[in-house]
Amino acid sequence: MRGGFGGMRAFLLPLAFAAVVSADDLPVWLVRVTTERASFGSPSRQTLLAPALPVEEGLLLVVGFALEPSDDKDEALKVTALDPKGAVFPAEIVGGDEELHCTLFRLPGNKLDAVALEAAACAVGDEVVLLSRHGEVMRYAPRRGASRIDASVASPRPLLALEAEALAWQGAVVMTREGKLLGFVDNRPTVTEGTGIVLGLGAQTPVLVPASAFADVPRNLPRKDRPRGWLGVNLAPFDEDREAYFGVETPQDGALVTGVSEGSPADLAGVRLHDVIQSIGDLTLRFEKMEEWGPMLRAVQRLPLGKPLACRLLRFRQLPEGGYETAPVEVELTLEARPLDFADAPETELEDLGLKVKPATQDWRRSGRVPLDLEGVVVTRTEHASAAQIGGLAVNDLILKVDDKPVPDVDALRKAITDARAAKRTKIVFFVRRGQATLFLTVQPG
Amino acid sequence: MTRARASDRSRPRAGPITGVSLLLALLLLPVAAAEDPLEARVLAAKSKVFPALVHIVNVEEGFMLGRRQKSVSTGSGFFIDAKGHVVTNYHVAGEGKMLVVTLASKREVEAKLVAGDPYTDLAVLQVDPADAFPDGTPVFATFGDSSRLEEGDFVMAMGSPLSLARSVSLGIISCRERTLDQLEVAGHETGRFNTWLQTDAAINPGNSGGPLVNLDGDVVGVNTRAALLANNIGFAIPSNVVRDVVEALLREGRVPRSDIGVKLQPLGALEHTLLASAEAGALVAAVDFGSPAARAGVRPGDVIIALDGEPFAARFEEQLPGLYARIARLEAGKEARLAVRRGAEALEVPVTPEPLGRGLGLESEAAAWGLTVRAITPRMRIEMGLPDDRGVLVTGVRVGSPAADKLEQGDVIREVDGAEVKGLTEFLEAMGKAKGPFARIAFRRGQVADVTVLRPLVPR
Repeated sequence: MRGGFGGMRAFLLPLAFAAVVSADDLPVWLVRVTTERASFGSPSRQTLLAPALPVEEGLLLVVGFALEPSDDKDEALKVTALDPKGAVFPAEIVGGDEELHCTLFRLPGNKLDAVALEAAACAVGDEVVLLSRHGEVMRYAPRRGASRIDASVASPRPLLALEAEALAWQGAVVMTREGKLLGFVDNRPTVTEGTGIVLGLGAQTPVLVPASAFADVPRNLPRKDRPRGWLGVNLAPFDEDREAYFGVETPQDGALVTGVSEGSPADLAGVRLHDVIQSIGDLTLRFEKMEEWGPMLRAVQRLPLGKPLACRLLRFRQLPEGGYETAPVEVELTLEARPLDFADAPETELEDLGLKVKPATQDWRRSGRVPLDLEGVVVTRTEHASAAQIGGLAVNDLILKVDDKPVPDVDALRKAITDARAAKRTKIVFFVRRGQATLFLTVQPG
Repeated sequence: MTRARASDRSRPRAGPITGVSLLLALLLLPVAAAEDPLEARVLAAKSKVFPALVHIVNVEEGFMLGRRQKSVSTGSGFFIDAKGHVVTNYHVAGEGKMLVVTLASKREVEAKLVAGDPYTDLAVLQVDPADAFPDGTPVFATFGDSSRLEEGDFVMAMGSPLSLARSVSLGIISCRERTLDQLEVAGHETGRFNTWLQTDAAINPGNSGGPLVNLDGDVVGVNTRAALLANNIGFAIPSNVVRDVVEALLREGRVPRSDIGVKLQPLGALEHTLLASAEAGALVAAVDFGSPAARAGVRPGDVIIALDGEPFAARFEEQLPGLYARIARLEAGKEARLAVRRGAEALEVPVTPEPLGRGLGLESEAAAWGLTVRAITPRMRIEMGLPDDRGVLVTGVRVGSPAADKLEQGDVIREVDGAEVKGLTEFLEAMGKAKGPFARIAFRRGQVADVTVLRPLVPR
């Protein structure tokens, strides 16, 4: 790898500096994400290119943006990764963390030598090496730069100021002169305390985020292949108005419970409607403004599953003369894995009918006010002029029965249709729930 | 007036004529008198109904964007008796507050609302006979028998298209039993109990409530709807439906109807399927939660083949309104018998109908909070999937009001200052009683049961 950018080093770095850096470089990769979507009839393409560090769990970590796998059918997404030798591998997005401004990528079938996400010791005035992408490379071509730690506000979280333009170094891996990992450059304009970074210097100012800030990301990032913690409650900000409603005069931490799913971890723990959840385990819930929703949700999702956690509540009791009495309550709560979301649920295509369906997940039932005990399969798409569309099936119909046989899941639906075809029936009767009513539809497979 | 058709014009017989003189001659031709029997009938029918035709200007109160607002609409109507009763559409005047009627003589007189029936989109007004018929001679239209109409029959639409009062258009019956899905009038369900007459006699906005007249000068329908962006596809309520509804409205101020809580589908589309267990009947598509049919054990998929011993069948969509009308005519509280086919089983199901209530609840304004709210009816509960019909539905929130950014359209207010809100009356009472710097509101938004406080802009 060293030979790969020796010439560039001489160009960019002071000579005295270069000699030290060449000793032992980190295995820094590059990740390229190309999105292509139709825009007014012609394709519009965007490319993101960023340095990536192999971390535990066989993943690549990129700092500077948070991406989620796209569900957009009209968007073509191509992800590749280039190793330090310039070899290209197909990759995929695992998930992003908005708060830490980073994304994890996976290389299917590849094992990577992980770099421990620890920050080497450093101090104000230390010279450091930056390693970033170089233009819109088609092959592995990083560039390096040198800078100096300009200030340290709250050690051990140093701030880095660069003379170079900030945007060019966004996401750069930062090393010591000896090639030890320090962290990443992130020039996010808003940097908040308590998220691993201590304040920012303003817009377009590169900040060195120590590698240790990302240490838990590979293990804790909400990922589609990893269960996320689930409470089974609806939460609203416990703001001034809601505090006033319950006669709470001193502002309190916590989130107001506005719904409890039957049989959920919160329900089993004894959390009730209009309790205020103040903490779960070590996590204090602060939810006063809607902007705090995302960080709070992610923090809850990262809590350990299957382990009893002390949950501190405020509980209100209505007094006969009006008003409320407040009492602190502690319950033991064991988080479960979050049930599958409708958005994440697999979509199945029944090609001969021109029909796409998904299982009726709990969140879909709740949003559609469909009883939780009603089993069926949800229509997500009907192809134009297909048998399903001509028969009258519509998006969001809940298919309950096919030819009088209940279809609690996609397999049952597939079997019922196969049976109907095997019996050479020219019309298949679908019994569906649409809105709050039911109806029968006849579909004639082509 | 140019009444003759070109084909009827008589031509001069004399001598050869040049092209120019022919053109001149044609332009100057005397117009023939109305000798065409069709034209004569049109004129006679027009003359019979025209004096009874009225133009209606309605000032009504509505609720928009969180406040009570007045609006003006216009439509058509016609006198039906010597007492000065006028028939029009519910959507023209069924919720009218101030009604002014322009008579055929162009005089403007006041009218009052007698009653309305949103289910059929009909309303009855009354003008003081002394105002309506100042010369003491009542002029009113008579109803014909709409069941005798056939496609191709000539009809005239009379009324005030685009407020152009006293207009007549001529056409034919294009279809005599059309069904239209999912119709609403001012938020109310309409059209469940009747089919529609389709006509190509031009119907435009403002024709609503006007008569559709046959060539005998009898009213065979009430013009009500027209297809947008189409060429002369208009719809009228058949006169036989109008006559029954108007009689009920005049007799008791409402149309008594019963309901058992089933949605029906015709069996035709299900022929040659596993579900076609009966040769003739009507398929139960849905059973309303908590309805008489649900209590009686009727299930979706059942085929009703008889009601009180009389055959009950719909092979086509057009037959459904008649079946719903039969259910509506059952006596509420008196057991009826449904003969039901369930798969291979034949069942006799006793069911006790309930009165069919209002589809939409009454609406009101909570001005101090910047809200408009509506009472929740059982029908609204079913259609909105609400757990019960307690509370009031927020229908609008005024921008900049105490409720802005706190409540929104579709929320259901369940408590005010700790007191349960059972309905609109209780809500208005609780609002009146609310004291202190703010009112405490508990509400439901979908599956969420949230709370907030409303601080009036002017301290109480």
